[in-house]
Amino acid sequence: MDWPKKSERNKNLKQIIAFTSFKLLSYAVVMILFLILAQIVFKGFSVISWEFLTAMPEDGMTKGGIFPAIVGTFYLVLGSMIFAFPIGVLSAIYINEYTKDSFYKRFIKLMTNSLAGIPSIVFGLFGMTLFVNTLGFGDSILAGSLTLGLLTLPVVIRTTEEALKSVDDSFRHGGYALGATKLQTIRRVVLPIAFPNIITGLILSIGRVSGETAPILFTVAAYFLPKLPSGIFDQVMALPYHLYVISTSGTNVAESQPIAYGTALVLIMIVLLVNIAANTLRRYLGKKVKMN
Amino acid sequence: MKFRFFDISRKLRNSIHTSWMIACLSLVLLIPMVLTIGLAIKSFPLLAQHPLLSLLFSSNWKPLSGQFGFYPFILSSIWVTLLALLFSVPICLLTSIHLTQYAKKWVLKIMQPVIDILAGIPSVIYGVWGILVVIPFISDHVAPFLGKSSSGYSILAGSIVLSIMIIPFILNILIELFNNIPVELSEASLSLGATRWQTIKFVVLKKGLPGIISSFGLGMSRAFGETIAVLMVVGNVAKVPTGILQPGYPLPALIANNYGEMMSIPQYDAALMLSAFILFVVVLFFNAGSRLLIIRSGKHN
Repeated sequence: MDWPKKSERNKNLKQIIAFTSFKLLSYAVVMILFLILAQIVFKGFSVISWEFLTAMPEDGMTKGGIFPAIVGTFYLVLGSMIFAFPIGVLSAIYINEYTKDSFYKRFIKLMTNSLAGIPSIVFGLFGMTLFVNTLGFGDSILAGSLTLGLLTLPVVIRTTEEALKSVDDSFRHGGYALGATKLQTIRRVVLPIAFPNIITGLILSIGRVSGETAPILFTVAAYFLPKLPSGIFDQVMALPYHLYVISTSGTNVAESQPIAYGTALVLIMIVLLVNIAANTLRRYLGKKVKMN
Repeated sequence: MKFRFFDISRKLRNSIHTSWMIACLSLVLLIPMVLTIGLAIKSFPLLAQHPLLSLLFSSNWKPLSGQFGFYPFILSSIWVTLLALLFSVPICLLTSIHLTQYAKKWVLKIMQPVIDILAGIPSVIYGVWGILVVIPFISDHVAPFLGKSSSGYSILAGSIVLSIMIIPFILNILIELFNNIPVELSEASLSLGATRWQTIKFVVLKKGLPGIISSFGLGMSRAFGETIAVLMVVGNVAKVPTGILQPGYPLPALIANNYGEMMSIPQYDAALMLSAFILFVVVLFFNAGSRLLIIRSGKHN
């Protein structure tokens, strides 16, 4: 009976050491998430009440609720989606279904990738210069929505492109074989199949928009505005900006801390709900499309 | 006749809707160009009076007397970014190897949504977490341990928060990368008697190296442009930082903090536009470089 050589045993030992440390590290990553979430949930949970969600802020934001911020974030998300969805989806359809030339395709890829890489603060500055000052919208929902829309455009384009790419070419060929034009094929065949994935991408981008702070700093966000907007040229409060303000430059940080936790919890809940909704919808719609 | 008419309208509709799509796409393609040109034009007044190099390497930041030295901000940005990468790179690399190479399938299935959620948490929440947890920790434990005093608002705090933010981002890229490496390669190595660890070291990591480097490049450009979370914990003092417990003032924070007063001081807006321009160029450089690396390495194999 011959035992493994010393080097053989060593290599197994090394493997065990390496894998154990890997395992611990990946658990650490999960732990970080749970620590952050747990702290905010525990401290925020006691703050959240129906009144907190539906009341106006009071006393220099140390009391009262966050209703205007919730409404503001809702308007901003809605506005940016109205702008970004059609443009993004149409662009993606053109990129994926019509462009053939590889040079042109690479150029588009370069441009959308650079758009996706631009830091959000640069978008904010750009939005302020273009929408607020040059076009004269002022600090308004319109300017903020457009800026946020620019930010999500590359996300919408990429997810729609991925969704269209996953549609098998045989479906398109089937459409053409029945005498449909390219547009008819896309509308009646390709889009319905890609729809669940497109919608998932769109919903996920809602989650991203609702949490962005830097782009709305200069374009829409109001420091303290205890009333609801009456039109698209009004300023609004927004959840992420509200959270930023009360945890950094509030008049009394210790007193407004519970509100900070509550706001953070609301923001996290929105992001989580959006994620869950997107996944559920994809599963549900995916089944439906397969049955047809 | 009727049939023919129908056919024409079909074609007409086809081209009308196509032109809509082209219009949308050209709008999308126009944005980066407009942005570049706009930033360049807006920062021109400052560049016309001071040479670029003296702006970049002067540490005099006195907007009221017209002195704009970007050196402290650039240096702070570099410190924070590199330190964040230093923290997150080993964690990302090892975690992704664990998840893709030898953890059970259900672990990755659970971890994937967790990573997605981590990536989706708004940056302002990481900032709040930094203020409430990281800053007291640094001022009460880390700084006394090193024999120094610090308020906690420091480059170290900024980079810790930043590293936690970019972990999910880099991790996602790496997991996809490792999942795309052909199984046959590892199988060949295993069949030659190598352990899994040796296989990972000599086959998987070697094959994935360009992708790994480019994922760090993408993470770096992400970290360089991150604003709110860093701004909240980094201290924002316009001095050249001399240690990691000192406060810093990265470029994005400079822009975010001063937008209110930039109209009232001459050339101030040009200075902020220039810092946005620097940010933009650096981020695009790392982005493009990383993507090029992936494309190149794909062609070689």
